[in-house]
Amino acid sequence: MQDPVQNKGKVPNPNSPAFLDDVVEFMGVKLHLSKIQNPHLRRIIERARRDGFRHRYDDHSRKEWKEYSEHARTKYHETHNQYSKYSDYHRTGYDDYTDFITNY
Amino acid sequence: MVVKPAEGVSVIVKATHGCNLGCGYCYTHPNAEKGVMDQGTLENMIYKVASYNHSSRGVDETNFVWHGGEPLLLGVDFYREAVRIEISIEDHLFDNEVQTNATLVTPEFLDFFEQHHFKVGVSMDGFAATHNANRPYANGQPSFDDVFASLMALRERKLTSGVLCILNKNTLPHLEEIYEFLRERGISAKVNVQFPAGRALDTKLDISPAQFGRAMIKLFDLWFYDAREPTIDIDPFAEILYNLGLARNTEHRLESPMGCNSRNNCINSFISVVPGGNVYPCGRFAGESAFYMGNINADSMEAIMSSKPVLLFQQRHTQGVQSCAPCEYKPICNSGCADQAYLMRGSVLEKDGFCPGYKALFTHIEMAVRKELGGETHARPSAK
Repeated sequence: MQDPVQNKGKVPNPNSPAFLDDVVEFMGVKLHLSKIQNPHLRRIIERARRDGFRHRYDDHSRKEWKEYSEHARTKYHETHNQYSKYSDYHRTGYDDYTDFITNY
Repeated sequence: MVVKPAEGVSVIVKATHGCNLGCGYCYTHPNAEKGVMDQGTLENMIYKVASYNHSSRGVDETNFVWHGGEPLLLGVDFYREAVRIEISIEDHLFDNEVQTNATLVTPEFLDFFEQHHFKVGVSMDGFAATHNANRPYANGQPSFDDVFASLMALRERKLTSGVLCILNKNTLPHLEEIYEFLRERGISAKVNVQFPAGRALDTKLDISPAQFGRAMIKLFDLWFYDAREPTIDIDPFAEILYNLGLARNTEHRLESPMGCNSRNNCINSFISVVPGGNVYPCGRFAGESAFYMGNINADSMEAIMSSKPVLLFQQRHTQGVQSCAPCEYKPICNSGCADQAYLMRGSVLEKDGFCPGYKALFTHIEMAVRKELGGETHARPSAK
């Protein structure tokens, strides 16, 4: 066993906020994250904690899409006329493709 | 109790049932519509579902899963048009996913997916021998080399998180080799059992619920006790661990489990639209006339979402499946997949036909996790 005096300053204080933040409940068991050795289980528990224990965890991608779609919308309006021409052309081609795929 | 965020309807789009592969287990219904989705149906679908999610669900976000058949047969211009329509709807977010056999991935598709933030799921049944046995081209030629090359190209651009792998008589004897093949290459996977429907009824490649349970337990052990880098995710194990862990908690308990099969009342979250605009509860029911919910061109979303199949699914949800009432895994399973109940037990008001396999798997996983957590347990909450 390690000498607690020698390791003074290295042993986490079980009452410190940092330590308590890493105490999680999983399957009804409360324990410190450091006790979980299995890498898969640890990753799942960390994910649950990161989600705030919600079962959806895509806030980041939502934000990314919002920024992207706003940018794309501006870009789309800027090039609308060009796109309409392209789109008409594409629709004609698409009818041909419909025939192809129907008979696939 | 964890408050579940508001959720909109996600759409599994089967814009074509055509496919260039000839998989022995394809579950596409023999009556599934021919042809492809036209421009008008595409527009109606995107506008109507987005509008419904906004006005009836209070959610400004819609998820489209482009499925099939093989969705890439439609060509990149079909998806350009879909994105053009999505972008024209202000203040609404769209999430696009494609589930493909990956034989038609071109540099043009790669650029498009990257530019428009599409997530791409690839169907690949393990390594060359198992994949080619299950998923040859329609002319019988092997498809593995093409699929694997596309998977690597998609991964290089961070467009895919893994593969979908089917458990049946061809893959069952090779679980260890399949797991090693995926792990060595850092490929995560979702494992689904073969559905007893469509062409699968003739090829007899299906496995029994007991075989399914044993195979999943074996695969779980291969994965869970393997700490070698790189670690990979295997679903539904990650989902089951997550659901089980939170369902047994005293604080932060889970209201509704993750995962397609175990959701509460999945019809509230998913619909499927087929080429001509007909709507069904999910892709697995496409073509089943008893589950026809309406047509996206002719009917309002309000009418579709209050159609007979919705009421039937709600009955499954509110009354619950009688035989599941005493089961301790009910909170994370919710009687499983309604389609597997319908196909194997004749009614969506029954439990999933693979129930014995799932129950064995849940029990095994719970014991494994409790051991890892040090054996200290709280009393399990009894199932409602």
